Amino acid sequence: MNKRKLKSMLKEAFEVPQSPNKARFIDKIYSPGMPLYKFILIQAKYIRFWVYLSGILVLLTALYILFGFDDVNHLWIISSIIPFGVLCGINEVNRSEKYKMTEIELATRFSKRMLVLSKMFIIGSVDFIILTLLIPAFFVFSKGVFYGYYILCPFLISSYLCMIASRKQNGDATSICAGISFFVSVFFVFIEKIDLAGFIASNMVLNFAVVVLLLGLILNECKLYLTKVEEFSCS
Amino acid sequence: MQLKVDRVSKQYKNKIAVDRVSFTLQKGVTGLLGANGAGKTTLLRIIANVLKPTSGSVAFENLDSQSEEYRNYLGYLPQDFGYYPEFSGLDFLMYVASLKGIEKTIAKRRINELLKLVNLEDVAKNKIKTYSGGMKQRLGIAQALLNKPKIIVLDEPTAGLDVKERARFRDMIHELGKENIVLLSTHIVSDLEKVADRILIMKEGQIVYDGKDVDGDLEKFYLEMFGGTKE
Repeated sequence: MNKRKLKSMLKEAFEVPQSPNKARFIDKIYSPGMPLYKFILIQAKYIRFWVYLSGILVLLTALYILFGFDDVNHLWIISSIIPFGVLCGINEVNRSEKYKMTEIELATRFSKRMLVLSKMFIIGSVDFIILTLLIPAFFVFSKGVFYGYYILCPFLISSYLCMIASRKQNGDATSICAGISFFVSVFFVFIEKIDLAGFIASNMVLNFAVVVLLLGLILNECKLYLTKVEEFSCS
Repeated sequence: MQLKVDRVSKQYKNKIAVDRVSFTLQKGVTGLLGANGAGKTTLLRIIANVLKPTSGSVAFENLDSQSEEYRNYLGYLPQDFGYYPEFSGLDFLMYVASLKGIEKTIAKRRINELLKLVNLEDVAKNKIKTYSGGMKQRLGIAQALLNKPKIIVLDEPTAGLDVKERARFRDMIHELGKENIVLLSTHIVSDLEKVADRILIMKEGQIVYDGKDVDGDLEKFYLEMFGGTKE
């Protein structure tokens, strides 16, 4: 008999049997439901590490381009990598469909709506921190080029289009969102090449108007998306 | 303790999957039988809050099925469920426990009990992708029972289980039915014969039979109803 087996047999032999009354007593003890903040904190643990990592990579790349190249002509690189950071986040929010977890998640106390909302909150918070960290870097570097165009516009456009695709698609929308991210990335490279970017980026009012419009569209899309996830969609 | 299904219908474009179904369930095991496409899964999904009915309502002790309180009393095993590839059996149960709002310490204790019950203790830390079909099904049963539910909805729970596991599962269902409302759907009539206190038979979205006694030969009765023979 090996040591492990002996240990397990000894443990079994000395284990005090639970009385049925004890189990009943424990069941009767009032245990308050998990508060929402705790639920959100726990869900942060279930978001895959590379989602956070992709955000950090976008931040580091942006800082490198800002200070490493020290040239306004390279800012388009930041715009073209941001959609891929968004893609990681959106895929994480939509993960249940891909792995057929939707039904189980819908039938739980917090339900899928709260789960999606908490994932959006966590990933959105990480993105917000990254974008906020880039503001002073842009101010130091850009000498008047508005931050919104190169950072916020690709972020908001990718997020908005990917959310529409996720809502319209019953089931996994990973490949469509990948296509969207690629398209947005190429789009920002294209308008840089035809010299349209310089005009848009330096026009503060236009920038601000576009960002506000996109924010409004995203909030509306969030509402529609959350309504959609309240029910299972047969794909 | 009762679960009331009141004139529930579900319509998809031109197809009516569930057609004005009404019944009330009390403690005990209720079996839902029906051929493929009869509307069993749709009905169970509505009861499990996975689908919203087009009309009608489902309530447990006056708690509407769309409410958080209702879901707190609910345990649901879908017919076909997946898992995140990086999850072990233990991770999966901890994850579902978090969605059910169960505190970590309570969840750990409950998970240990359930792993023993479904005989997955030794493989709890293994990745689910290494599990057999029967093991995955047992894991699914365990997640449904995590919150000590009062309403247990099981869609084809014996699929993938071998004969020994099915016998063990029947005993478990029988025990659960003493204190809870258990509703399970299956197309294996023999799974119900020994455990069900009540049988509902669905056909084309409607309940065509609701009763307890079918002269002790459920399979024969069922096959006759659907135009077959026992042999």
